[in-house]
Amino acid sequence: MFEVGLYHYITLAAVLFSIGLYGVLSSRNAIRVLMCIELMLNAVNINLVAFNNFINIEDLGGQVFSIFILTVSAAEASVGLAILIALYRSRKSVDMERFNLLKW
Amino acid sequence: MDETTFAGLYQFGFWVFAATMVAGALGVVFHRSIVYSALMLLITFLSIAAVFVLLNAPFIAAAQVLVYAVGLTIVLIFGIMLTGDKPFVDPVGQERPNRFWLMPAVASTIFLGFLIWALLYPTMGFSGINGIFVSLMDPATNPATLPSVQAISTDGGITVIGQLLFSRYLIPFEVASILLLLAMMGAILLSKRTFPEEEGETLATVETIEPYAPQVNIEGNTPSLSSSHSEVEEKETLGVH
Amino acid sequence: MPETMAMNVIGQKDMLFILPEIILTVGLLAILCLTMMTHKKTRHENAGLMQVSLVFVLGSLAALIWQFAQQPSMEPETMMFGALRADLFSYVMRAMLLAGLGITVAISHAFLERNTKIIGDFYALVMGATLGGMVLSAANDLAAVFIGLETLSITSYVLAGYLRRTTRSAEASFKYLVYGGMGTAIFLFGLSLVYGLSGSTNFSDIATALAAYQGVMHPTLLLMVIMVFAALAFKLSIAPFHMWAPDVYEGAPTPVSAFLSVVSKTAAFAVTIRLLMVIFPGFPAWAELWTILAVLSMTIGNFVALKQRNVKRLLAYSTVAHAGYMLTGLVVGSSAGVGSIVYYLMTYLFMNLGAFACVIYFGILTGSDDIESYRGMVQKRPGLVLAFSIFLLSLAGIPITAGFFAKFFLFQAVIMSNPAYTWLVIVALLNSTVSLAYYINIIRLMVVKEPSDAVNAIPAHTSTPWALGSALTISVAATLLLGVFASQFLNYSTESVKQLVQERPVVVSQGLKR
Repeated sequence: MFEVGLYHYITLAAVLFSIGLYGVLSSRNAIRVLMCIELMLNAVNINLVAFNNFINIEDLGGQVFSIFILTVSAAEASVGLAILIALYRSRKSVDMERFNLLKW
Repeated sequence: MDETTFAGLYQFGFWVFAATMVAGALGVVFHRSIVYSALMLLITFLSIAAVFVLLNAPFIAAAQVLVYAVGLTIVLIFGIMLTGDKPFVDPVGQERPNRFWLMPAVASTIFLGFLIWALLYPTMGFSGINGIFVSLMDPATNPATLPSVQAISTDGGITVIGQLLFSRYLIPFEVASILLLLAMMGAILLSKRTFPEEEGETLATVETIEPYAPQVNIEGNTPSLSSSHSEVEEKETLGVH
Repeated sequence: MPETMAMNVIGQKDMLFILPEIILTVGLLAILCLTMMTHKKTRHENAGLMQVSLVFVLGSLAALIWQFAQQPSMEPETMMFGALRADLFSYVMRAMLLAGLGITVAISHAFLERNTKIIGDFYALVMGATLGGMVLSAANDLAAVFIGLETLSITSYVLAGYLRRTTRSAEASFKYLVYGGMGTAIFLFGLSLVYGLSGSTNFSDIATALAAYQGVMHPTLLLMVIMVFAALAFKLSIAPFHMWAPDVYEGAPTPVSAFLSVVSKTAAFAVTIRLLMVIFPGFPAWAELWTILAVLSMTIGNFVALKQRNVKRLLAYSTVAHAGYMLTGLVVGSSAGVGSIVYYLMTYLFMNLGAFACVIYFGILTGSDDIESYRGMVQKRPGLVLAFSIFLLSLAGIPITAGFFAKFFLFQAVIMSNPAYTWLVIVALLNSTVSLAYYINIIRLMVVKEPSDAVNAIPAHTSTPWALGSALTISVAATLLLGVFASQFLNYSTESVKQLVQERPVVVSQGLKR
């Protein structure tokens, strides 16, 4: 049980992923929503690196894949913030409940 | 350091970093102030980087610190500063941190339950400590003698990762560079401040919407939001953009 | 391992295979530079930007067709160190994406001229998005799939918010980003499980590794399949994961809605078909899952579309319904069934882009996307009304149009492959009957009713922008002619999918020992 192995890491990733999911679904502040998306993507990174370590350390494909995720999620977050700033200019708010011109 | 001390330290490290990671993540979601949330996010990112070190991935750990912990957190804090008039108060979160909590809580708990059940399901005839995730490594060889592990212990695996990036992952690598270019361009395009005359007079569709003002009465009850919604009627002059 | 990797080098063949992508990338960079150089943003300069992008898109398409003509036998092989797969399917899908991109560029110019002064960036972004889609439809590696998908998605988020001063556009963009980011995270979690089960990111290795789990009923496998395909269903806007589509299509600029509903969707179908046919054949709960999604998607799409008053929203729901029809081909999973999806996508490309082109033109004329404002349009623009009616009838599946043949072949293939799914086809047919109601309603409004004020205000004669006009002509011609030459195109589609099926028994790569 306390011998740390693959299952500890993937359980940890699952917990982090679910916390992120809860945050995305429930947060009112749009920036917090972006943060929670990052948490979900980080959980995936833990999964990949853990699998790489325990399944196939001969080939670092999983680590390279996680570098791509790292890159893309940073790009996604910055685009998200840019959109949010554009939205803030006309809305004067980052409240998800105020984004109501279109029905959710 | 002998073998057992090392194993003990490894276990201890895992539990410590797992605890800070989960605590940090919970802080991101539940802390009332958005700036504290960003700091909690930093803690989470750093603990994740530590976990990567435990998982034989020092290069990813370094990249995690550079990209997420330093770069992204700062960008997010800039975002917070730009979108809030009082940076240390979350105007949204102070009033009511969550839009609705019951449905997401139930959904994500069920989701977590499903994940854990599915991942930790009894091995079902799959032998080995990893259960269904069968290891590809030959159990007879000592992992420490593998070239990739040796590369990790000497230079953090940079050579191996670099070779992979420029061979098997060449196409993703090149496309990622275009993606970054386009994302940068898009971010500039979207957030650049312009004036109406710069963008053409034909853009008659700019909506004027009442600025957000939190309405909290003395008793601390939030007035029903539906009433304020009706004020924010669409004021588009034209339906088309 | 370094030793084995050094053996492969990029040859001429690899470079020729990605020549269309290279041309598109060069075009994208050229447009960016030209945008920076043209400060004054005169009409002339803007038209020049559009023409340059069209030249590059058509050049890319020409390179693709030339490459294709070089290899009549079309032996599938992996390219670029196994990251891409050169097979008939990748050629067909990439050609469709480029055709869709060309039409999108042509129809968007008139709209952009009218609504914004920032024009060049739009073309760069749509070209980048299509580049992502092209990588996606040829991908043979999880990393290539992921990067292709994200290039497509992130540029789409930006495009949806292109008119950033319009709150509606920015809001659509942000919603798209939140939903899309969640979808990406779920997709990646699924992919990480794929990696965990196979220890490799290459499709050939994964297919070999996952073949060992066939027939095993294990919740981890179920979780992997559900997560990967829920995320794909999300990208395909299949009910119940469709909720973003109507909002985004309504809020985004009309050319972007056209692009998302056609090019984005084609690319997403390409990766779904490839994953399904190559690495996930015969997984548990497969057909059942897709059957539920297909029925839900058709029904929700059509019934909600009935009461829409904004034409973009209506087309969004019709898109959801069409995705539902196409899923019936995935349910049976035979090469005939999946091949008819490819043919359906071809016809859908032209009819849906054509319909959106008409919406753009109507929007310019009336300044509104309300269906009511199209009342009596026939008195002012009979030709345009005729074209719009052809597209709508084709979307509804009325005989002679390509839409009819697409539905006919699809449903025929479903019944032939598995007679047990006759009931699904009957549901689909009933749904098409429902869809007829709202398509015909638009035509009735345009033809029978008295003109609305907006229509009365339209000047008697204005010249049609040539790009929009020729895109409309091409779409009308394709919508009518794809039906006439249906058998040839269907042949190509089915052949391409047959090759995918043959790829299943794969050679084990040297890198892995299992």
